[in-house]
Amino acid sequence: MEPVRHVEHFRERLERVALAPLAHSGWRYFLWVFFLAGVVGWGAYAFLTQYREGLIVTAMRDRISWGLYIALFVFFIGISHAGTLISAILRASQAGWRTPVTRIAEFITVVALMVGALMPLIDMGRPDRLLNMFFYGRWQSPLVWDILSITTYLTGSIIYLYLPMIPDIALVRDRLGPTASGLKRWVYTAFSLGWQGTPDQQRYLGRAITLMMLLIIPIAISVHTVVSWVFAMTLREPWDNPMFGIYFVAGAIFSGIAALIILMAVLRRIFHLEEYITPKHFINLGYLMGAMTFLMIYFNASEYIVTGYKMAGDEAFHFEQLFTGPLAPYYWFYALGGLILPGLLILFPWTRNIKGIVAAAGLVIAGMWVERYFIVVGGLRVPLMPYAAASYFPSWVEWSIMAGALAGFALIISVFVKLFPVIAVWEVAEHHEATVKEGAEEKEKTVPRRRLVSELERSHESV
Amino acid sequence: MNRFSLRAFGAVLIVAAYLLAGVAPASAVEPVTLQTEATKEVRLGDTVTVRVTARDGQGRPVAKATILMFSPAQFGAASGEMKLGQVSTDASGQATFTFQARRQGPQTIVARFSGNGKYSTAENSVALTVSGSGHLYEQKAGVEIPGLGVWVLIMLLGGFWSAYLFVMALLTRIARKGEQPLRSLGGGHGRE
Amino acid sequence: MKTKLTRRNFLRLAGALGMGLAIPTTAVAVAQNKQDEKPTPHTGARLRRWVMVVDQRYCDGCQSVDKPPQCGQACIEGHYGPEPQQWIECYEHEMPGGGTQFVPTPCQHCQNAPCVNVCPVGATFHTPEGLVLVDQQRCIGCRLCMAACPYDRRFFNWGQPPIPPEAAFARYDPENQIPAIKGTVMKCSFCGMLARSGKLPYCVQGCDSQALYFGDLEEDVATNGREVVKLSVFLSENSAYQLKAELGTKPRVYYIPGHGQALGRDPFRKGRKPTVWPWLARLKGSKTWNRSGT
Repeated sequence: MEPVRHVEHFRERLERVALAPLAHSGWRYFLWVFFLAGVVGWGAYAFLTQYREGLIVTAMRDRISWGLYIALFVFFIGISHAGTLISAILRASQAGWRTPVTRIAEFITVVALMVGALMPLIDMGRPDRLLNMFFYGRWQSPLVWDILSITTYLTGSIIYLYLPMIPDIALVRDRLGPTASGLKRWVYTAFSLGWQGTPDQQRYLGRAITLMMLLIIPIAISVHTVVSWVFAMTLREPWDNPMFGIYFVAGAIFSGIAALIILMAVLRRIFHLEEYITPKHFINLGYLMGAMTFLMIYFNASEYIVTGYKMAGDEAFHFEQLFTGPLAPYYWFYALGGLILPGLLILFPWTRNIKGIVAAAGLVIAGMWVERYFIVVGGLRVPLMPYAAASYFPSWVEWSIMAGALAGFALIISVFVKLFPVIAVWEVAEHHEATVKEGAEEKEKTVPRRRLVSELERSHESV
Repeated sequence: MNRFSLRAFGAVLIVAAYLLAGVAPASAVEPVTLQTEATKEVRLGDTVTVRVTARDGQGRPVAKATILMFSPAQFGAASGEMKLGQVSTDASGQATFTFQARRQGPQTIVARFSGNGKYSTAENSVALTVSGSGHLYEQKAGVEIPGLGVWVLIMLLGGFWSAYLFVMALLTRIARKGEQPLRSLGGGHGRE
Repeated sequence: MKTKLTRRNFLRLAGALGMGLAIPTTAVAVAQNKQDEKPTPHTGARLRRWVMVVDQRYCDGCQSVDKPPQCGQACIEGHYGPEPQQWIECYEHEMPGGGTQFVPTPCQHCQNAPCVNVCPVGATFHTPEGLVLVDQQRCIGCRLCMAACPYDRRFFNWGQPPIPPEAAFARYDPENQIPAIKGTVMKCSFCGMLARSGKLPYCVQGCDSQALYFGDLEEDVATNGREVVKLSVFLSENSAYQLKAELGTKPRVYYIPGHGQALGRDPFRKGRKPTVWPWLARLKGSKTWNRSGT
C-alpha cells in the first residue's frame, strides 16, 4: 500500500465534492432561495403591520405578556448550542470523527444566534427606542446580561467559525476558476488572509483555534443560563426555580444536536456527501442526543416530583394546566414525542440508522420548540391575583413572523453553503491522513508542507 | 359617630365591666384629676416619656384606670385627634407612656380618662416642642456584600473580549506571514 | 508583540481594536447611566415616605352603594386610564373559611421592587419618596417588569391608547402619565403629584366608605380624609398585613383584614359591579383591548 498516493487521491475527490456547490447552482436552488425570500418578505410585512399598529395585532395581552416571540428567542438560542458547543467539546475531547460535521454545526450557531437575537427586538413595544439600551442600560437587568452575553457569544462564534475556515477559504481562492467574478475573488482573497499554510501560519492558527475552543465553552453555557434567568429572576411560580439555568443549557444542547443532525442529513443528500458524512456520524450524534434525552427526562422528573410532592402555592394550578388543562396537548407532545419516542428510536438497534435518527431529531426539534412555548406561556398563565386565568393563542402576525424567522434561518444557511465549503476540507483530509498513516505503520513519510497540526491534533484516535 | 369614639366607647364598657366585677360595687361617681408631665424640649426621633398620675377627689391614687393618649394632628386636608396609644395606672395611680417623636414643631399630648361607674371623666394635656431634623424611616432593600460589585462582570467580559483581541492579533500575524495571495496557487493544499 | 505595520495590517488591527473596545466602552456608558433614583422635588424639609393602608373592614366592593368600585372609577377619571387598565383593582378573594373579601390593589410600591430590579433601561425607578414610577418616555416596551411583578399591577399600551382632547396638550410627567404613550408600560403612581400638594390620591378621595388611607412613614401618620391616625399604632392595633409578604418585596401598601363587616356586608354575598370607563364614551371609535387575551 502506498499511503501518500492514497492520501492525494482522497484529497482530490474531497476537494472536488466539497467545492462543487460553490461552482454552480441549479434552477432548483434559485427557486428555493426565491421561496425563502418570499416567506421572509411576508414576515417582514407582518412586522411592519405590528410596528404601525403596535403589539395589539398580536395575541399577547397584559396577563400573558410574552408569547411566541420569546419562545422562539429561547428556541433559537437553544439551537445555537449545536455548533459551537458541540464542535468545541468534540474538538477538546479530540473526537476525530467530528471533522466533517463541525463546519455545519458552527454555522448553525452563528445563524441561529443572529435570528434568535432578533426576536426580543421584534417583541419590543418600542423598537424605535432600542438605543435606550445603550444610553440608559442597567447592569442589574437580566435583559442587559442577555445582550452582553449574546453579543459576546455571537462574536466568539463568528471567530470560531471563521478560524478553521481560513485554510478552506484559501483553497477556494486558489481553485477559483477564471469564470468567477471579481467580487468573489476579492472576497476570498481578503478573507483568506494570505494563507499559504506555512509552519508559522499553522502555528498561529492552531493557537487561535485552541484558545477560541476553550473560551467558547463557558461562553455558550453562560448564554443559555442567562437566557433562563430572564424567567428565573421573576417571582412567578413555575419560573422561580434555581434549576432553570441547568435545565435550559441541557435543553439547548439537546435541541442543538437535533438541528445539526437534520441539517447534516439535508446537506448530505443534496451535496452528495455520503463518503464524508457517514452513518457513523449520525449514530454518534444520535448517541449524544440519546444521552441528552435521558438527561432531560431525568431533569423533568426531578423538577415535577420535587415540586409536585409538596404542591406549594400556585404549583397545583400549574400542574393542572400542564398535565390536564389547556397546555396538556403541548406538554404530552413534548414528553412523549419529544423525549421518550426519540429516546426509544435511538435505543432500539433496528431504528438506530440514519432514517431513525433523523426522525428522532425532527421530533426533538419540534418537542423542544413546544417546550419553549409552554414554558413561556405556562409561566405567565398562572394567576397572580384572584382573577380568571388568561388565554393565549398566537395571531397571524406572530405566526407570520415565526415563519419569516424560520425561513430567514434557512435562507442564510442556503446562501452560506454556496459561498463556503460545508465540509472542513483540511481537517477532514488531515484526519484521513493521520488514520491512514496509522494503519500503514509509523513510517517517517511526512508531507510537511501541508500538515496543519494544531496542538490538539497530535494524537488521533482511529476510526 | 366616627370610628374613633366607637372604639373609645368600647374601651369604656370593658373597663366598666371589669371594675364592676372585680373591684368594688359602684356607688357615687367621684371626680378624678389627671396630672401630666413630660420633657418640654425634645429632638426629632427622641423617645418622649409622659408621666400621668390619676387621683380622686381626696387625692388618693386611682389604680387600673385606662388612660387614652392622643394628640391633635393634621395631615393633608384632614385633622383630628390622633391616637398615640393607651396606658393603665398602677397601684400608686401612675402610668408612663412613651412614644417616639416623629413630627416636628409644637404639639400637645393629651391624656384622657373616660371615666367609669365609680369615677368621672378627666383630661389633661402637656405641650412640647420637637426640634431638629433628619430621617427616621430607613428604606432598605438587599444585602451588601463587601467587595462584590459590577466590576466582577466587567472583568469577566473584559477577559473574554481581550482574548478575542488576542485572536485578532494572531490573525494579523497569519496575514503578515502570507505572501502575495493570488500568486500562490495551491499553496498549502493538494497538488493536481 | 512586534508587528510590522503595513497599511493592510494596520487596517486589520484597527478593526480588531475597534471591535474589542466597543463592548468595554458600552459597558462604561452603561455603568455611568445606572439610574435607580431620580430626585423628585418635594415641599417641606423632610422627605415624605408615602404609604397606603387599605382597611378591608370598610371595603364592600361598593356593593352597598351598588356602583363599580369607586376607588378604581376615581382613578380612571383622574388619570384618563385607558380601558382595560385598572391601576387600582378591587379583587374579590375567596377567604379560606368561605365567603369573600375585597382586596383593592394599587401598585404596592415595593421597596425591593422586582420591576425596578429587572428594568433594562431604568425606565422604572424609585423616587426618594419610595414611589415606583415608570418613565414612559424612556420605556422600551420589553415587558420584563410585567413578568416580574407578582401583583399583576402593570399595564401595557398594546395599541395607541385613546387620549382625551383635554389631555392632548398636557405636559407629560411619570406621576400623572398623561398623555398615555403607545407601546409602554403604565401603572399606579400613588398620585405623587397630588400628594406633594397636600391632596390625597384619587382613589382615596373616591372611596365613599373611607376604607383607604394615605400616609407618610417618615412622620408616622396617615389619613383617609376624615380622621388622622398614627400609622404604627393604627397598623399594629389592627393586625395589618401585606400582600405576599413572603416574597420579600417589602410593599408600601398595608391591609387591615376584613370583609366589609363595618358596612354590614354579608361575606357570602359575592360580586361587584364591573368597572366602566365613562371618559372613553366621549371619544368615538377609540380602540381598546382586554387584559386576559382573546
